[in-house]
Amino acid sequence: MTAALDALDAALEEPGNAAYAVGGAGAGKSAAARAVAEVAADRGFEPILVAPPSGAPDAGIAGVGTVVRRLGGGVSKRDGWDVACRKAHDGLAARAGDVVVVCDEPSSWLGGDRYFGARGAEAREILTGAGAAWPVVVCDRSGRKGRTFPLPDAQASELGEAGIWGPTASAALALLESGIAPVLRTPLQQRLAVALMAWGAESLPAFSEASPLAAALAAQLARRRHGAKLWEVWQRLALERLDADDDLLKALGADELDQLGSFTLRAVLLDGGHRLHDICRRVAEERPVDPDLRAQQKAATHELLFERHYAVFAQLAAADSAYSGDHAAEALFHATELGDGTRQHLVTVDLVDQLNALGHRRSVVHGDHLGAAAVFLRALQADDRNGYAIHHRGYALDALGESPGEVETRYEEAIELNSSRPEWHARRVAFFADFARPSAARAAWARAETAVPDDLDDPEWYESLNGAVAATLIEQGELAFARYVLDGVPEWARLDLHRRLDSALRGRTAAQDKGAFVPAPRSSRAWWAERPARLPARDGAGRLLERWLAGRVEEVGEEQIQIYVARVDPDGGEPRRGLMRLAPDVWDQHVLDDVVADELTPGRFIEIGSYAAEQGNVRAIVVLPVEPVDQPVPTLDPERWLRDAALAPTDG
Amino acid sequence: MPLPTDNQLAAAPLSIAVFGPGFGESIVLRAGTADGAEWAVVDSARRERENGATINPSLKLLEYCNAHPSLVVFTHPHEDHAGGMAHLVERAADGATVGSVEPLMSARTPLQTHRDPDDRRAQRRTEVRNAHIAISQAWAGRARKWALVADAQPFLLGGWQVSVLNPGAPELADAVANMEAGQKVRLNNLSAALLLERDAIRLVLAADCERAAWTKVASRLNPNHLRATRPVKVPHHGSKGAIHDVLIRYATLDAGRAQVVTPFPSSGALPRFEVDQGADRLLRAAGELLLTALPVDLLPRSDATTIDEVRNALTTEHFAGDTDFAIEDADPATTAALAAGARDPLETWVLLSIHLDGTVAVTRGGHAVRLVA
Repeated sequence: MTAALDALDAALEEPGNAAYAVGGAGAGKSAAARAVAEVAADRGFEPILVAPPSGAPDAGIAGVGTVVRRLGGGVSKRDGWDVACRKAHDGLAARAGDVVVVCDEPSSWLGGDRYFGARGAEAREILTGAGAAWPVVVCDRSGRKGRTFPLPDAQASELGEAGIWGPTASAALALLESGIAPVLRTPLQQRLAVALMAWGAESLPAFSEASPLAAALAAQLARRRHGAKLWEVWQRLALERLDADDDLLKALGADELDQLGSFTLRAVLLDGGHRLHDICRRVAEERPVDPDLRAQQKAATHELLFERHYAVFAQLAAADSAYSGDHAAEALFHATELGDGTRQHLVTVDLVDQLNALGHRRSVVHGDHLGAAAVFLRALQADDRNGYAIHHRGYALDALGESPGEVETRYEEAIELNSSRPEWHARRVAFFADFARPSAARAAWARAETAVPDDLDDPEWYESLNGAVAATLIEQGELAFARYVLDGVPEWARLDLHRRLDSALRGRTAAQDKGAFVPAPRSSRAWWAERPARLPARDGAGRLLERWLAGRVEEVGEEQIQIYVARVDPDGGEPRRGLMRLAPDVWDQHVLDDVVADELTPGRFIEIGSYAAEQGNVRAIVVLPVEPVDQPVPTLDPERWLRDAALAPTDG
Repeated sequence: MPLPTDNQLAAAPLSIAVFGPGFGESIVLRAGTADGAEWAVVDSARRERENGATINPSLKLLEYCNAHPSLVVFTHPHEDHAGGMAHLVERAADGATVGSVEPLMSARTPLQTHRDPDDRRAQRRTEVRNAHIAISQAWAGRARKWALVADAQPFLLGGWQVSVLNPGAPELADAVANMEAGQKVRLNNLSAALLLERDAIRLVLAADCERAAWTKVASRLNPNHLRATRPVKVPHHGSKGAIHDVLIRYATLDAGRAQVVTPFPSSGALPRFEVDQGADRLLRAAGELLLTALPVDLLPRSDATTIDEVRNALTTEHFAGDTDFAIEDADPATTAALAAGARDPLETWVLLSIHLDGTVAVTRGGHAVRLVA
């Protein structure tokens, strides 16, 4: 911890010039931040620990909110982000002599989309940047040159330290003796490796980085009867975004763990009692053993966490405590995760952008556009000039296929407020295209073109606008329009997405022009293979495959099935292409799958083989499975606007 | 001028421009009135020109004539009738009537697409979906709804009564039940065939109805009723399976009855030109056949093209000893021009000028062909 305290000394000696305690994943940055805060308090300063939910879209926003609240100032929703930032800055500047700001890994505040990432960057700049006249200690992956204090690597010899390893001591010693220990450079790596061995693993992952170690530990726990309970607590704990305390651990079932489980939880996963490391959190999120059970556990845990934060919020709010806001935000987060509108309305937050972040998560992470629409509506009730909330309220309704009039108005309003967001323009154009209003789509595109900054040097801007719009238009079959949009991207900004969309567009255009064989430069992968994908080299009777054709079913009629076929040149030349017509009974006679002619649909890719037989060749057909193909850009399904088709009133 | 001209369109009380740009079919109707004209459009078809521009010839014609149709009809949800339909719906006059086979418009139908960007059919299904979205939104807004079913109230276009021959309500109900049960349904047989009448003049726009549909139509009509109609937009791109006695009797020559076919698909699959296939039977029925799009560059330049000349444009190769698996050669070197991509979609039309004495004058675009035996 010396490095962190050195950083504190440096920060106090030179307020306005942040000092950094730096280390990689698992180096103990969060623990160091909390230790610094404690020492600062011991020295008579008021520590302001800024440790918002790591990696969350609202991290920067929550961080600023925390500071404002700690300083005793309130933020009203109408104030908006700019006012909150000013209050944080001015409040800290006024108390620069008696506060110490400690930031826990602000580089993790830049997550979420462009909007929230920008908020995180702004928060970091306000609290730790050039304009910060107060003492600041930042515990992060890197820091400003000349002001960094590296957290030390873990030493192999620490594995032999008596007493600190509790029930895992023998595993620690075994690791030390194995000679593997020197590659375990961070405390987290060491703890995970020891736990892994203590829980019965026979070896460590080849590269003993923290992430594979954590994954291996999770897998090991899930396999063992006594470990399963710990794995469950671990997964549930991963849903808590702030620090864990004893009450929380008890509520999550930690009391039911045996000695090894309890030690592993507290010493290994919680680093002695703070928050779950991001790596461990991610493993819990990405490796559910039973997705159904995991879903149930998640819902129950979010409910529990809501109740916990809500109770703390109510208690602190009654006491007029500045800390109540943090818990209100967390209670709202868990209510939103549950999609529980009633609970969401029990609490409020003091920054509209926190609602925006929750709406974003509801929409993007959970695909729950209904929930997102409600959250953004709530944000708009607090601030009806918040462009993000306006646009995303429209987008959520658009995704739902609801209230097209409001969608159109919201999209328009948001662009009136801020026309510099390429994705806002893109969604507006896509909405009109999906809504079968081609002229309006063109007008919206013309408007979007006027928003391109003169000095634009960011290729991502074009991907967000031209790329997204072109993807929708290609999907819609509006090929000429799509070509115009793609051609609007300057040469220097044509990156991979442009190439993929251009390829798809050329394929579609060629398909219309030639009207026949290969629909795209890259057709269904299996179909366009250079050799059989499913037909065996010999059939069940041992006959040799003599001739092979790739085919695609074009039409299925009562009297005949039309198939486009290609005979691939083994020497790599152009395939020979042709049209084959089969009577349905001939198809049924030769097909090896269950797909009889009556069930066949156009567009299916097939293989036709000819096996050498003594008397005439034997034909065989196999039908290739439909493969999912990645879209270059995810687009909303236009069918959302079809649902009410049958409800229109009848006239005559 | 590749498109029909103003003068050509205004030359008769009813003008029907049948576009068949090699993939798809669309028909523009102009009915002259005392005040000028009323316009209608049935289905939509668009395709690419070689320069990459998308052309919807019907839309182009309407724009060229500064016309806003008072009737837009989408006969059935197949991609070759749907491309660009949203543009046509948008082009419709305020308060226009928009017709569609409503039970086929639900997302529960076979319209559901798997969104494979490499699948040409997925794209075309998307166009069907777009057409339905445009129509449903028009119904919810500024358009009048015409649910296309055999007993629907006719529409009056200028002095012409437009009524629906197919589909019948029972077939539609059966089809919906089958679709909901996950069974396949032949959408062609649910396509909306239209009958236009004025005094003694009657003509049929037969959509893509195949034999089963015509059998149902026959059960609802006097069997001779439709055989007297002229001209006829031949059903289902001239497929053999769509030629039914109720509309086209190929056993007896009815010389001079104008028949228009929109070839499909661009590989030359329909109509088929072999003996006793679709084109042959249509020639036997009326002595000649108007095709909106053939590769005229491959054919001798003349007022009429013989079916043998067209047959020579296709070659057939067989795998040795196996006629079941015959492959018709579609190598670009020999038949690429059969694909309409090499053609100007604005030249793929047949204009029928229908006079009140029943005479029908025919004008052809540059890629349309008059086929004779």
